Amino acid sequence: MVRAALAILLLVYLATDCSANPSSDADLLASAEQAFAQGIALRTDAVKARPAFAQSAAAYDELWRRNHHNPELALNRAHAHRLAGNLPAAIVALHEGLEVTRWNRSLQVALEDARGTVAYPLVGNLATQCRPTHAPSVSARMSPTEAWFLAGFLWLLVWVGLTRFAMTRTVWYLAFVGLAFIALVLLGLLWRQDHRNRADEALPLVVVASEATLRRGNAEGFPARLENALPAGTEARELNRRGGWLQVQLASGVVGWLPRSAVLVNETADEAVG
Amino acid sequence: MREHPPVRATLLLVVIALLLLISGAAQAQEPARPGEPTTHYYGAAGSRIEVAWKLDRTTVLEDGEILATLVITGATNPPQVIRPPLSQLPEFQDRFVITDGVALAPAADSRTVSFPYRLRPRNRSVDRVPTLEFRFYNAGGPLGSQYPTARARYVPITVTTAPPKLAPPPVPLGEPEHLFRIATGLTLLQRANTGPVRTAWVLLGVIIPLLAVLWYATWRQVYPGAHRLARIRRSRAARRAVDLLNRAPRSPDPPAATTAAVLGYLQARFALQPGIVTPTEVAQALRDLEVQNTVCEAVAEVLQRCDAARFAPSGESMVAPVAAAEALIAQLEDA
Repeated sequence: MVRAALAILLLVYLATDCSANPSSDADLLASAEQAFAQGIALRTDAVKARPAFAQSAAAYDELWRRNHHNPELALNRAHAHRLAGNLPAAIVALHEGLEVTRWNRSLQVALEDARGTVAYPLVGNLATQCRPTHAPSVSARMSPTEAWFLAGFLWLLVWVGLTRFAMTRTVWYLAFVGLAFIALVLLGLLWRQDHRNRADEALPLVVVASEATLRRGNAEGFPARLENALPAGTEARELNRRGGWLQVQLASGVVGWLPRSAVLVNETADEAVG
Repeated sequence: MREHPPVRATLLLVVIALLLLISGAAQAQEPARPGEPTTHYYGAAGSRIEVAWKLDRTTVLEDGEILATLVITGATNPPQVIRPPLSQLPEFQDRFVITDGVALAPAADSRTVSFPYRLRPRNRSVDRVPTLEFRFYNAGGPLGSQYPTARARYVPITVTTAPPKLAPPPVPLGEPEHLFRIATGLTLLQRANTGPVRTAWVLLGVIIPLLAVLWYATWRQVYPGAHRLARIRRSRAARRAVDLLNRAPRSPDPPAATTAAVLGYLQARFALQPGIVTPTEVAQALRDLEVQNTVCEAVAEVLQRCDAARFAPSGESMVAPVAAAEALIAQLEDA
């Protein structure tokens, strides 16, 4: 009897302890929106507005860490980070959003916009070496749900044509079936090709947080790989880690080393690698 | 031993050079006068020398500067008077950050010399430019008092609080306008729809064929005649006859086209002779081929209806003969 009472008390304690979380998701969201609104109210003074936007971005980041992964939240994070003056964090946020919904047009446009503001030097070809190239991909233009509906529609056409042919023995229906089937196969091939291309993006993304020199080795003593330092916001793919340094590859294929403290690492991909 | 003339000339030149060097050094160093003071003496000479501070202002801001000029009058040797090093005098060094100004060279006949200084008070407690003692050489003075002291009397000053620095004007955020718009509401706490699961794809692949099969089966149940027609189409002769019957109403002579379609079918199906064309002849020929009597009569009736439509004055509608012909062909295909 006593044990049962103790067990009940323990359960009640645990339940109240869990529910007593002072920062629920809804509260956190409200605080993020409030800080963002405060930043907008102070937008005539950048010095005062940026801390408010930074506070909002921190709240949105926390929501993202709590697995509220959706494109709207990713876009809000990116906007808050950019208004707080943290372009690299905005780029990371957009990438994390696109990992969830890579077909989202708003995130794609926002990422291109953010990339356009990276301060590459006017002389030299650093910008062309660092800017990621875009191969047209079906998964970036069509969501899996849309693909499901399209494939279902083509599959339906195939079977409607077959059925009508069985009913009427009209040869034109076979041609109709053939066209629909070819379209279905093409869609499948495109999707498969796109899946293979995405394997190249399996390497973790790193974004340069503060201007850093790409070096030939993992120490400050090594010579620079490129003439100009990489500006904040430059994207690269992580190849290796050693002694507080990351070996990274730029979009052009140039490989070099950056200090870990100078880059932001996409957390999702980082966890996957780690 | 006799010396060589060049050696003697060289030695002579060396001796002359040494004598010149010694005499030059003697001229550069003026001998110190007896009793010359080691402090507050700056080389001035005269019988009646006065020194005074001349300030450009007596009220200065906390981080401002005073231009203080030490004016020395009555000196007989202005060019030889050296600048008093205020930064080495504790009473000045403790009060001010001192920068020497540019002194103008005195005129040749002038007996006045000035030394400007820029004095920045170290704090607000500084209340004066201190007195400076200035000793000079008076050649006509009594022995032992040839270095009297003149004094530049202190000048009271006031150090006021620096005005508060004006904050720079606020700079607005220059980011694009669309960045200031965000999505709000609890929908942000939902997880994104990442697409249909694998089961949905399997269902898609299975359900649609099942639906098609169901459709076909239903069609066969609801339209059995249509099903028979479909079987008829499998016969080449029947398919051609049905096509001709479908086009017959649009031909110039529909009854003749219908009759030709039926006769063509019968000739292909039963190998009738081409000269057998009348209803009676056709029925008899079919009987000879041991076709059922009802079928023979049906054939004859269809052909008669076509003839009636072709030759009767009132004109029978062509819909009925065509339908009857199609039914006849279907009946023959089923037989």
